[in-house]
Amino acid sequence: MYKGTPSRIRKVLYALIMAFGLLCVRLVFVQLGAAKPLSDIASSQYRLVVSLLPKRGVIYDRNLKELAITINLSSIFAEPFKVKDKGLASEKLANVLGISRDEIYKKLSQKKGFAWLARKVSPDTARAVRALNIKGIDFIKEPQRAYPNGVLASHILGFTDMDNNGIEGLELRFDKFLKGVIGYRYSIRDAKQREVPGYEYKEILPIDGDNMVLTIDSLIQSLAETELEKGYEKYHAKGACIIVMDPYTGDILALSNRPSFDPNNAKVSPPDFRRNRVVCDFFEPGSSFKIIAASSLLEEKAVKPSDKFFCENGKYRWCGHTYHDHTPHGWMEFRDVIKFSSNIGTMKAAQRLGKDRLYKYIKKFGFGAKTGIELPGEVNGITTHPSTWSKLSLCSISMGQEVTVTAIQLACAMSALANGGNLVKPRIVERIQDRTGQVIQKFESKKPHRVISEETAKEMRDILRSVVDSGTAKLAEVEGYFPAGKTGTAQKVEPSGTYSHSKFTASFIGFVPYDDPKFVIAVIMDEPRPFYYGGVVCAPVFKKVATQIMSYYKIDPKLESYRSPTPAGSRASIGAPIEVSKKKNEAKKDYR
Amino acid sequence: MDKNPNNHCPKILAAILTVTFVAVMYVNQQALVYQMGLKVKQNNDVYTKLVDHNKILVYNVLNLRSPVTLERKLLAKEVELSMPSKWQVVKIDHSPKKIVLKGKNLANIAHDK
Repeated sequence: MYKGTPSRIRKVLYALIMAFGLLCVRLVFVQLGAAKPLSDIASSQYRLVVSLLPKRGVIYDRNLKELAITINLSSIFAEPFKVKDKGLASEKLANVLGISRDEIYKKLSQKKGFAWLARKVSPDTARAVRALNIKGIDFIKEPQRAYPNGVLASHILGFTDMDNNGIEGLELRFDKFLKGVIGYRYSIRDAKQREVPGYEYKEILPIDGDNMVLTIDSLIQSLAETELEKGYEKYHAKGACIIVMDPYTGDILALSNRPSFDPNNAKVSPPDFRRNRVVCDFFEPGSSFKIIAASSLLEEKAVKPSDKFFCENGKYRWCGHTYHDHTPHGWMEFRDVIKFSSNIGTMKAAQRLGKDRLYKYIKKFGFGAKTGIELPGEVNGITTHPSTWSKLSLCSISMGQEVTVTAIQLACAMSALANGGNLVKPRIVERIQDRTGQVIQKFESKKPHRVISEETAKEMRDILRSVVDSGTAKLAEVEGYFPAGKTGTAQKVEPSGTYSHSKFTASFIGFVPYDDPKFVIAVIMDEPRPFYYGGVVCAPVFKKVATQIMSYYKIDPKLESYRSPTPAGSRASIGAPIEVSKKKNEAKKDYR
Repeated sequence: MDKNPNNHCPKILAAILTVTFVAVMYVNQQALVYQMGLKVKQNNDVYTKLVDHNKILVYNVLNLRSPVTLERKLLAKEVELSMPSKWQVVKIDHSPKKIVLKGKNLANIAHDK
């Protein structure tokens, strides 16, 4: 065939065969060696993975009223290269979005394919931007956490960030339950990067977050917050908090702090406003801690309520240190020592107990350890071991100094007195359930452990009732419901280490009714001014909250009047100096 | 064997027609899939939009019903509420049990009279 063909043609033929051979080699290389990466590059150009966001779980109160829900809002983005007249577009968008023109222009001038303009805007804003009809400006739906009650229970609920991750409160603590699992849809896209409908080849559905049911009652929460706010404003306090608790189950019905914040717009509030003082802050409780010394003294039978103590007419020197009572007292029965909150009487009684037994009861009442409430950031408080105590420590600790506690610890300790001597674990989450209502996790009330006997608890309830009836907390009295409780006014410690004479922590922790307690209410105010006594600033808040709660629960007031368990003669034992001092210190007389 | 090439023409033609038909049907099927997908997507978009709108409305209702909002509104209108005194409370007992006698409701009869 090739005979006689010119050598030139033959050369071309060889060249062609060689070129073909090279192509074959290349083909083999492509097919066997580089097939995978090349195939990946090709598929990445037309394949599309769409993230399917799960719905974050709803948070309900105990009556299944929504406290936190998720809504879808539009986020606005730009494809800068598609926007033609960037100046005009910036001008128009600035008017609608309320962002400066320069900022928008900067975003539109970026050499990027995508730039966020505003995320999760209101439906009205989205509608207004859509009406501008600017090419290159588009929308995407994003889930947004919304709190319909605004500031209500904000410290309990916490809030989420832009990507719906829990940042504070229960949103943070139970983020893994609430957030759900992201899903994916695998599809193909066209040349304009749009998803081609009908070509989805794989879909992994998202799993929505679980719902959470709290022990909070939003109505009680609301009225507690309203009254706390009024007290906080009236006394210009630096901070304030309130807890309403069921003393038998430990269920928290309301928990609030001041200052507060709106979780719908949390980032505008300072971090200090977002701190849950109830569990994160510890303080010296002052006289409200006397309930621990008194309970342990009665439980150990170191004193009887009728035992008499000489209160040194208000001034007592002990181990080189002078202790004072706000109101001078002479001889007093132990029950009156607590009723009138005598520091001197309490420290004298505490000496009968000794430091080891006092420490044992401090620990038994749960101080110095976390209560285990389901809120993040809980602190222990500080209770030092008796081996490190000074000679003054026993006296100081018995009256609430040299020891720091949290508000929730005090509420739990008072619950133990109210319920007959059992320390309960506070509970704020009742259950977690999935979208179908099936319970995923139930937070049962833990079996309470006994810290004092029923008799001691009853004796303490009687003493605490007298505190409200005729002691330092008369402003807490609720007619027909007979509340009981203990006031506290603690000097704050200055940075220099000395006790301040102008900064106080006022508190009132009580329960109602005293003979069949239904609720424990703790009110604490940090640096109230100009008045700073627990019986003046906190007791009225307790009274207002207790009155409304009893009415809300349709608990009828009792018609019979309260009869003090204090024997009639006991008041006569209070010496003459009291009467004198009462006249002298009219403003201070009863409200420590 | 038939060596006349013209005799193969109908077979080739039939094969070409079959292939063409299958190809057209395939393209048609793909077009239909796209159209249906588009329709499903549009319906889904409408559904999602309605659900989202519903959620926003639900949020607004919850917000309006919230004790915080109600209280703010009452304060703005200077409406002061207070707890009623004991004499102001009327306690209503349970309604009397219905006694049915010979098919007649006595409570209703009494009411009619």
